[in-house]
Amino acid sequence: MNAALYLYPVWLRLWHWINALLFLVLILTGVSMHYSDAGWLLPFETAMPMHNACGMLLTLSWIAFVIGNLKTDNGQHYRIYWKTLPRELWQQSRYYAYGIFVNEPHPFHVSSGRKLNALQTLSYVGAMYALMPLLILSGWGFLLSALLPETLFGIGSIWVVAMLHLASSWLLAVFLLVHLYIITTGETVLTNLKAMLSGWHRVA
Amino acid sequence: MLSLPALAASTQQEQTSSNGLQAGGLEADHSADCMRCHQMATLAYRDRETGKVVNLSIQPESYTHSSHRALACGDCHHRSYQSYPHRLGRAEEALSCVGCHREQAKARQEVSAMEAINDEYQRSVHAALEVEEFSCFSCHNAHSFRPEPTDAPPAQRVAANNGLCLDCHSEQRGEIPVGHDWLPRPRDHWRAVRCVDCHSPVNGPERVSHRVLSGADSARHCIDCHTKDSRLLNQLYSWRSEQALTEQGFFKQALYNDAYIVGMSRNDQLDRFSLGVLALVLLGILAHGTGRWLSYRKRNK
Repeated sequence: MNAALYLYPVWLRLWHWINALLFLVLILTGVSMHYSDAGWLLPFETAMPMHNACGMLLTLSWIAFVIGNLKTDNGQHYRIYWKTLPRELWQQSRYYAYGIFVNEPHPFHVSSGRKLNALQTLSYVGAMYALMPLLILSGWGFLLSALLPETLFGIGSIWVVAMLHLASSWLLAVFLLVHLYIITTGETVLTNLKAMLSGWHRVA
Repeated sequence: MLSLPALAASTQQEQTSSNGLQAGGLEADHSADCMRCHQMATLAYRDRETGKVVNLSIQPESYTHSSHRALACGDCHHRSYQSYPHRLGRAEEALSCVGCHREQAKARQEVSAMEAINDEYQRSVHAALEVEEFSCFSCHNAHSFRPEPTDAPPAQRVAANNGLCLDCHSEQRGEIPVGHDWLPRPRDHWRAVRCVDCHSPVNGPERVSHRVLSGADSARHCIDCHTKDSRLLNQLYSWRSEQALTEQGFFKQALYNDAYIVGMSRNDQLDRFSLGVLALVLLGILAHGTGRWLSYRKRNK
């Protein structure tokens, strides 16, 4: 039986691809500033205003995402089912580590009420509701550094801000890499990518 | 900072024998005569032409700690001062730092930095703007100036250095210094960097160049200072890492190394660690993908 679920409404797909574009530009410009003496990346003078502007847009995009999740039922996909979490985490991890190589069926089945498996839920909640606010706040910490106190927790506040920004951005870069790979583990390699383009998730 | 070792470092005997200087500092007979009046804190007069108060006071305490402390008054002020008040002022004496320091260097068979310093000064904004009566003495009071030792704590060197600039550029002492509105946290910069670090050519000599640049020509990009290999950082903090290592221990030094905004997160260990983990993640993904592809091929044979 071939059926399809409409999982990704227009606003969500728009948000996703705008977010993705901003992320790529922010990584490119951020790396250019971090390794500003490498010579083969964007010039610092170009990278800095681009990074600042895209960072501000990312803030808006993140707020839009949160509002969208509050206003529509997309928010339900980010609920953590604590009771079944350990079992589902085990099943999902076992599938990625073993089952996927021996053609076992997917342990998780996408439904209109739940499109993310336990591993995805945890990592998406971590990325969107923990790392992103940290990244955005520390980014604004740079932008408004003149308003920060001299020290935070007894350490120079700029240093705290820089380390938070560096750590959260780096963890999100790792998330992006894994995300790019994991979406190829759907029914077919392109199932999930197509769903994020058309909105329709094919169910086998 | 100016490095003027010629006078201060040499002993009085050497100076007397090689240069005909009387030396003896304020202990010399005639110096005591001069200081009878000139040590008065209020000794001054109002210049009739400019209307400005000219300070003639010399503080013995400052003088005896200055670079010129070994010199007697008459070593520089050659004219006879018979009439009171003296008729001739400093301008008529034509005191020349370059000339005197060149002579000193020659006598000690050293190369004087003064020629280069003078050359730099002639190309500086101070010379170009033809600021009224601007001379070496505008910044370096011959009766009190002493360069901070290079091993003094940076904050102390910075404060002493910037004090010279801020004496005239007093408008820069405000909360939002004029012309520096683009600079984040100006007060912190004032405390941590010397004015001349930005207001002199980045690729100048090891010592600070006397070619002071105008605001428009000065370093303006964060990256000029906040990078690992920054020349500006090196000028002031070349010895810092070593000192920090002994004072703060390795861990703290590793954490704070080059720590400030652009330079801040440029921590080599952290960079290597994060790039290493990223590479491992990529390798893991590649291995997993290859495994999937191989098992798919096997199944479909």
